[in-house]
Amino acid sequence: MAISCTQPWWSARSPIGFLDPSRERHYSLALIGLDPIHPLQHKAAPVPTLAQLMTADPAQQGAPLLFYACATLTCLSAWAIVFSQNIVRMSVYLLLTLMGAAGFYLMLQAEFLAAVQLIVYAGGTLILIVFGIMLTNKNPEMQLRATPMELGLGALVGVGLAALLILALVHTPTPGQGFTAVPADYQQVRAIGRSLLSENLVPFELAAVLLLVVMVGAAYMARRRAG
Amino acid sequence: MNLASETRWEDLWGDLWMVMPEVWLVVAMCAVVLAPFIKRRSVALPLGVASAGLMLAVMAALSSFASADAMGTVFTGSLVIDPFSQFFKVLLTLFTLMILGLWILHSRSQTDPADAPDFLCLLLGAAVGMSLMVSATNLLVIFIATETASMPSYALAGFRKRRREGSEGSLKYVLFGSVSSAIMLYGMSLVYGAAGTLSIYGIAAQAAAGISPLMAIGLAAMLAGFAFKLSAVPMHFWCPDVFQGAPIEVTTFLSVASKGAAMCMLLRALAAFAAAAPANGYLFVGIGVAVGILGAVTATWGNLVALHQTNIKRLLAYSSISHAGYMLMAASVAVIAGRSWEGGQHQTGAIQVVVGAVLFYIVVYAFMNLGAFTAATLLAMHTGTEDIRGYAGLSRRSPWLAALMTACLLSLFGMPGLGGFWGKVFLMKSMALAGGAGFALIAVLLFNTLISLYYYLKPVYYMYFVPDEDERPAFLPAGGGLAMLVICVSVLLATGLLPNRIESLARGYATLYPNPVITAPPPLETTVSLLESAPAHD
Repeated sequence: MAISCTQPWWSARSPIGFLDPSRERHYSLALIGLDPIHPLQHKAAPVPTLAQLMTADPAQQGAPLLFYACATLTCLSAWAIVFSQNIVRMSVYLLLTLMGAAGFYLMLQAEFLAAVQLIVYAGGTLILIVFGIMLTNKNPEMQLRATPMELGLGALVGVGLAALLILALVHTPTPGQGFTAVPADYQQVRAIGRSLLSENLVPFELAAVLLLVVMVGAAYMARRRAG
Repeated sequence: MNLASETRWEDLWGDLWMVMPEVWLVVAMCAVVLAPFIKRRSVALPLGVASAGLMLAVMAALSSFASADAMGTVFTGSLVIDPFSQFFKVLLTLFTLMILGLWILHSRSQTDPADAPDFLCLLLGAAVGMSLMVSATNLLVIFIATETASMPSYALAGFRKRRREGSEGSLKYVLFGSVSSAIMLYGMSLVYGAAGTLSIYGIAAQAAAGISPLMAIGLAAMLAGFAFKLSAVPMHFWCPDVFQGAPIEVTTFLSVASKGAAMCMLLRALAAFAAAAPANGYLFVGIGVAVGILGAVTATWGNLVALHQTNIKRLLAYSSISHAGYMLMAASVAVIAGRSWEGGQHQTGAIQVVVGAVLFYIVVYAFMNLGAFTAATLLAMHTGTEDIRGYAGLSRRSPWLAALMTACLLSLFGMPGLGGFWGKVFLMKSMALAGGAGFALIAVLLFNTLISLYYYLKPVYYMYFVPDEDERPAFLPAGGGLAMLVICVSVLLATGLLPNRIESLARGYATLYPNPVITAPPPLETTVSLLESAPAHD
């Protein structure tokens, strides 16, 4: 695979940087922080200093730093969820993971999605989890310990799934255009609103029916019969 | 019908008339919730409103057969209204009406009048979801419709809050359901990422150009979601517990309507894939083989476990698992035989034969299951037991009930002369289209039919050949229940004794089903429309 690479192999940049059409097949790898080009091919590449990275065009060069910051936040807190034994702490780490993911959306110029991620997950789902812990558990400080069996099984499934997905990502060509630069006058929320009320009208309206039914069902389940 | 640029209200209004069955169901659903504001603690009012809404939905679905203009693609391709979908909607709404009858018969006296509107609202909500599942051609609609069908089912399964088994079944249902929904949604996101479109026709066309690994994983994950709704084998654990714990009318509803809707949704997706398959699309055959193996394993497993059951509801639950397996096996043929092995001509006729056979099977299955569950309900009401050993001596104590239940059980087995027999014959006929693989499927079906004979005859054996040791008194079951049983059995006899008429009817449904028109691989619909003014990247 002869692809010219002027950047060092480890500089997994923000996907925004991948506008070169010859590279677009591999954006999926870059998304997970890996450069598809083998490290050995780039032994001689010059390694820019942090200062060099910062002083170049900030719009382009600042992105990797932001990417690394979000990636570190997401990965570390995801690890912390797994290794923590206190369920309340786990939920706080989950909040950090979700915020890191929101950062990725921001860098992909999906501001709306980033906001929704924060509102729905950090605001809604997380509170639900905390409520669930508080209401069902008499002792929120309960320690959760996995048995070695569970640990092994979980690791096996997790690693297997991750390997499968990474393999599939690497071997999947991206359809069509890959990443396209967003035009300056593009209004994201407006486009989403239009799509919701035109192309996706049925799912939008159907969601209302779904919410009504769920509300009735939940109210019935929660209701205590008088007498 | 491009609504993206200018919203055309006339188009939307016209489309709305084509989904009138769903509109009536939603209107009835809202009216039922509001009914207590007019008359408190009344059961008759919400019941009347729900029945009226269901009847209007039946009328609306029937009236769409009257003119060709009433069918087609609506709401920018999110839904397809075609004879296949309308036929199922007529069946579904009629069946839901009968479920209301079963509810009046069995649960009305045990239900607090204040809870009746909730029950009816949930039932209608599930019906809305199921009827949309059958029309859905878009991943988003498929997902939300499936959820709209599932969420009320969870609550309905645990509707008797004081019963421990009911709560246990409901909880298992919720947990299994939410996990499988999550898997299905994840699969959909992968498929969308790989294909760049939400339309199943577009995905099929993209897949025809080459199934990428990402799409293969996504499709497999989506199949897991379908398998849950069908209670196919790796995802079937909820089924016996829910069926045992839920009130019997809910069990009947779930066993027929929910599975039927999932089956039709799967058929539509498989038919879309089959019609788009290239001449040498061996990967497509892989999809068919996967579904066929899923069906064969499901049927065999369901039958083998059913052998040990002594509770009639659990027995019928495993029997329904195996029937879902038979239908899955036939559905797989749509993809295997739907594309040609040589030449390059699509055997679209094969898809229609398969769809016709499965539709016919769903109709027969609906009536035989309704009959069997109604008989079990009547027996449980009069003898107070769901254990089949409690059926001893029933032929003396209530000969009519024993005879009618035997007819339903024999039809489930596939006794010649009853509808179930022809259902299986048509399934086998469609399987034969697939050549060698089809004959393997037929062998599995015959083997399973033999196994099932044992457990379907077990209650019959107790009813007719085991004397009642306790000398319990004779009884005459309630008139309404007996009438419903008689209707079911006469439908089974009619479908069983008039095979020629039925075959032509089955062909009729089959030819009614239009093939999806697939043009060149579509553009990246959503991305492009979101970035309308973006310059082409070249």
